[in-house]
Amino acid sequence: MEFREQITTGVIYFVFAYLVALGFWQLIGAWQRLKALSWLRSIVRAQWGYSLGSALMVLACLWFFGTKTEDIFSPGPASSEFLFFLAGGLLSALATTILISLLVGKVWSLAGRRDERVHHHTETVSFKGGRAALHLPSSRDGPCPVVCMVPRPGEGMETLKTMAARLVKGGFASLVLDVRSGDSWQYPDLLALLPRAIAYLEDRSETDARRLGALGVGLGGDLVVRAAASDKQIRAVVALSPLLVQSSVEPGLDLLREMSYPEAIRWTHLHGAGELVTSLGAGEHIPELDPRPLIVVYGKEDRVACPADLLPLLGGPKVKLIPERGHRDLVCDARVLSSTVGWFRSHL
Amino acid sequence: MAPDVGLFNVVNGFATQVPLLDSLMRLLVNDYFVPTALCLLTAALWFAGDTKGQRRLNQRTVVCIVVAVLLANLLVKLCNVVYFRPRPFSVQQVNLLFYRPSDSSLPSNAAAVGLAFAGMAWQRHRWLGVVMGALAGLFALARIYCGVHYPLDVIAGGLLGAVSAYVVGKAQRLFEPLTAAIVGVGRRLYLA
Repeated sequence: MEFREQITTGVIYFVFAYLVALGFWQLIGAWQRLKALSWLRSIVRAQWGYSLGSALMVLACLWFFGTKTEDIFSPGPASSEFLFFLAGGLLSALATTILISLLVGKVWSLAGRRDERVHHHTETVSFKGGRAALHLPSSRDGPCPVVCMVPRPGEGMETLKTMAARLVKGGFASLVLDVRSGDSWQYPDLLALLPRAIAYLEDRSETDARRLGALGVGLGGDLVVRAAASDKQIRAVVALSPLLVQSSVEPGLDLLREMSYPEAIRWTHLHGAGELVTSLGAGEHIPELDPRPLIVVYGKEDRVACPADLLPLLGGPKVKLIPERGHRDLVCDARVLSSTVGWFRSHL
Repeated sequence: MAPDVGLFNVVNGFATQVPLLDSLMRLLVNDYFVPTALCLLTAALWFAGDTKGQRRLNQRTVVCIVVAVLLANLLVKLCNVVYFRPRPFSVQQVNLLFYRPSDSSLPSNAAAVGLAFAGMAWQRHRWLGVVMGALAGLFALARIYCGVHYPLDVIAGGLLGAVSAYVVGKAQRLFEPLTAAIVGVGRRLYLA
C-alpha cells in the first residue's frame, strides 16, 4: 500500500515537473535565444519569453503546492526516484516544447509568406551537370555583367530570389545554381559546378562572362572562394557566412539558435559532418584570389560560423560584420543586399 | 547534545505561532520545492555561456555537481550504517509540520545534498553558489523549524555536502573523460 502511495505521489510529481519544465524551457529559450525552443517569434522581445516561462512555472507551483498538500506531506519518491521523475518531466517537456515551437514556426511562416512579385525576366535553365535560375534585367544595352550565386546545401534557388532581384535592379544578370539536392555536394564533383555554369553563361548573348562575379552563402561561400582561386575569370567574390572550418558544421546547441530541431538535424546531415568544409579548404585558398577583390560578410550574432573564431583565420580579405544578424538571416538583410550590389558595381 | 536540543526547542518553538511563517516553512521543508529549484538551476547552468568555451566549463561544473551530490548521498548512507540518531519527534514533544521520516536524523540528507549543490556551484560562479547556498540554508532551517531534524543533524549534513563539493572540486580533472563523454552525447543531441 505504501509503495502504491509513493508511486501515486511520484506520478503527481512527474506532472508537476513536466509543467514546471515547460516554463523552464521557455526561460532557457528566451535567455539563450534558442529558436528551436522558443514559442515566441525571434523578433519578439526576450522579456516576453521570460514572462511566459515564469508564468508557466508559477502556475505549475500554484497547482502542485496549493492543491496537492496531502501528497506532498506524505512519504514520496526518495532521491533516485525523485531524480527519475524530474528527469522524465524535463525530457517530456523538452519534446513538447520542440514540437510546439515547430508548429508555431510553421504557422508564422505560413502567415508571413508573401509571394514576391518579380519584375524582371527569369528563366530556369539547364546545363551539363546542373540546373539554375537565370535572372535578367528587362531593359539592357548589350550584354550585362553577371553574378553566379550558390545557396547553402539543401536550400532552393528561391532563397536568393531577393538578392537576384536587387542585382537585376542594379543592372546585373544573375545565375542562381540549384544545389538543393545532397547529390550536388559530392566532392570533388561539386568543383565542376561553377566552371560548367560559367561555360553556360559564356554561350548566352545577354550576359558578359568577362565581367563575372560570384556570390556564395554558407558552404556555398566556401565553394565560390575555392572556385575563384582556380578560375581567374571570376573577377569579384562575395562570401556570406562561409564556414571555413570543420567545427562550424559540428552538431550542437548553437544550431538551435537559428533553426528548428528537425532543421538542425537536416543541416548537419547535408553538411556531411564537416568533411566538405575540410575538402574545400576555402580558407587556405583565399590568398590565391589576390589581387581580385573578395569580401567576407558575417552576422555579428552568428554562432554557427562564429566570426570571433573565424576572423583570425581570414587574414587578408575585407570583412564586414552585420549587427543583429545571425547565420541564416544574413542574406535577406537590407544592408547586405545594398552593400553586395555596391561591391559588384565597384569591381565588375 | 544539550545545546543542540535547546536550540532545536527554540527554533521549533516558533512553529504554529505565525500561520504565514508556517506556510512558508512547509513550502521550503517538503521534498520537492528546494530540490526541484536546485536541479533546475543546475540544468540552467548547462546552457549558460556566450561562447563554446564558457559553456564547456559550465557543463563540466554541472557534471561535478552531479558527482558531488552522489558522493554526499553515499557519505550520508555510510554514516547511517554506523550510527543511528532518532528523530526529534520520536524522543520528545515537538511541533511537527511534516510527515514522520523513519531514517536516522543525523546527518541530514537534505542539508548534505543542498550544500553539495551550493559548494560545487560556488567554485565556478560565486553568485550561483550564493543563491543555491541560500536555498540550502533555508531548506536546512525549515527542517529544524518543522521538527524533523536537530541543528547538529543539519550541521553534520552540511559539512558532508561541503566536503563532497570540495573533494570533487579538487579532483575535477579526473572527471574530464566523463564530462567529455556526456558533453559529446549532448552535442550529438544538439543540447550541449
